[in-house]
Amino acid sequence: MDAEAFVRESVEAINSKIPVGGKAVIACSGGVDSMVTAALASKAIGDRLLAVYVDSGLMRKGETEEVEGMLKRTGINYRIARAADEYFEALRGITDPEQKRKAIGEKFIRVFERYAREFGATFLFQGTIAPDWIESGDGVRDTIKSHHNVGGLPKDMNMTLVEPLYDLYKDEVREVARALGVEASERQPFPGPALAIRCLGEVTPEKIEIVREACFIVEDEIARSVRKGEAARPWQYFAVLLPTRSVGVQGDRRAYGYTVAVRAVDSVDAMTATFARLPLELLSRISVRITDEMKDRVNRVVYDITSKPPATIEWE
Amino acid sequence: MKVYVVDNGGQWTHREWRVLRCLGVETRMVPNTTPFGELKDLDGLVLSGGAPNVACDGSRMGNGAEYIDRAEYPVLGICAGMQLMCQRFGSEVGPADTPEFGEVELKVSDHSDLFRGLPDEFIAWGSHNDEVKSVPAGFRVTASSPSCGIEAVACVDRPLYGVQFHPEVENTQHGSEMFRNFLGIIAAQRRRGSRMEGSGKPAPEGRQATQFPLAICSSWLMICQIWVLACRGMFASFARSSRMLIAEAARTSSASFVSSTLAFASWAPLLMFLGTEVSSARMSIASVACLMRLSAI
Repeated sequence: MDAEAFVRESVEAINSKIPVGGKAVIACSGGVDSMVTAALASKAIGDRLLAVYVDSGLMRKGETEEVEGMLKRTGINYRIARAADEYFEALRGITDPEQKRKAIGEKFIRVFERYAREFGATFLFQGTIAPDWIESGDGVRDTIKSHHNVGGLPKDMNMTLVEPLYDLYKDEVREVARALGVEASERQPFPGPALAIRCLGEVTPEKIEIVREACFIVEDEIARSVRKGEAARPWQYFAVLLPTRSVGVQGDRRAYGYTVAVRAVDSVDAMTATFARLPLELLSRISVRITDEMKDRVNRVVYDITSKPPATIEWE
Repeated sequence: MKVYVVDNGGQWTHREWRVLRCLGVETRMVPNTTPFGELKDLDGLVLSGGAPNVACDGSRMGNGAEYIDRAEYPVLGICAGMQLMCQRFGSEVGPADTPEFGEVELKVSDHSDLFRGLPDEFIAWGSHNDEVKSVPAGFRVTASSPSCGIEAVACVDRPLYGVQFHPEVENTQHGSEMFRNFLGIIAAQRRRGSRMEGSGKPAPEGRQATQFPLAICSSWLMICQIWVLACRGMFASFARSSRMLIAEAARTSSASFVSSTLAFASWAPLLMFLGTEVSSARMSIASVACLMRLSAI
């Protein structure tokens, strides 16, 4: 794809859609899709744009600080919304993955719209890309999973949606990101519902803490191996907290803790993927670190060896 | 070249569009309820995969059967698209004995069309709950896998092709090459169509595009030749005086020489126009003949 041409055409399209003086907000998770969208919007309308990052309490270790740093460096106007309590409240008692996604999507909009109103925005930018709307289903397509950013805005929001990356796949988004000098260009994909969908079953602050730590260990160990040239960096890699407990033995005592699944895949566009052939020694280090550091809670680690299809990359 | 993708609700329909777009083809995704009249003048058609059980839920495949019946151009059916095509020609379609999700070990048995230039065995990616259980009438099987006997088919006397697997996804080896082979089949069909133009078959668009300028240039040349004949006398003296001018200019000033050269040179743009505007050998020969005619005066 011709990234430069795409940037030019997108900026033109944005300017023809947003009148002079019109203001816009963008939901920025810090991921490459939303950061590229923000960069395009900023190029077109400058300080008539406000970026909002929502700290839902479901983000990765150190993520809020990392994203704030990135936003500062772009020079775009931004706000950090702290809404962890609201999110956990909205997720209480929900175990069905689709219901989780819908609850998170709804809560997100409500938090977000406060900032949009205050700023006087009439346009909303989203970094929606092709797999998002394809997998969310429509008249002809099955819903594989609802993506938080697809499904329309509540009618009372009175905002027009602008999605410059609608036809693109992740590999194309990354090319545009590199052309624009966006810092997040090589960040691995992270789901909109964040760690909520890496915590199977009901979401609680304690379980989120476990999966947050496990995800951090997976990312840290893989990064270390990649730096040493021992493994190739996978497309996406993380940990999932399973709702299954199993028996173990720790220090001559019976243990009965949770199981964590490690997931690492190779892909180009996320529409198909193979499980990453990570070195067994690396998997061993990940397993040992997780069960040593979280011995009270996790006593078993498994590796997901399924391709997409028949599985999806994330578990929910 | 216009090759559209009929959307049967597949996860990878958009990928099929993306591959065609990358191969430089004019392409769009169209709903499977599109009236055939809107697809009549394409160069090729791809019937995408989708979730419907073709055997018992055929209505969700829209006008697919009609496209297959009436298309006068090559059609490629992928997954559910292939199942619909096979069913149309009498195949039994039903739940697969062993469904395939992800990696498929493909064994090619016929390299004449979609698999031209490809290895005998390679990895393809599948995702199907149903399969084609019997060979459609008038088709031959061109590939199979350990779990699925009919992975690809080709029609013997019409340019219809079907694949159970998905050539459009990144994990299928030689995916783009299969699409390129399909486009090659389309191009060959177009050439055959243009050679049969005289027998009443519709001529491909490209040929019609050159006929209008050809007519203009032929008329212009005829006018020039008539003008030459009518003004023969004037030309003769003009040429003689120009030749004398050149001879004199060679002896006298360079300014006159330049003006004489310019007089002759002013004919050059017209002759170049006649020679290059139409990419046909006949026009070039005609313009050379015109040049020789003028200089013979």
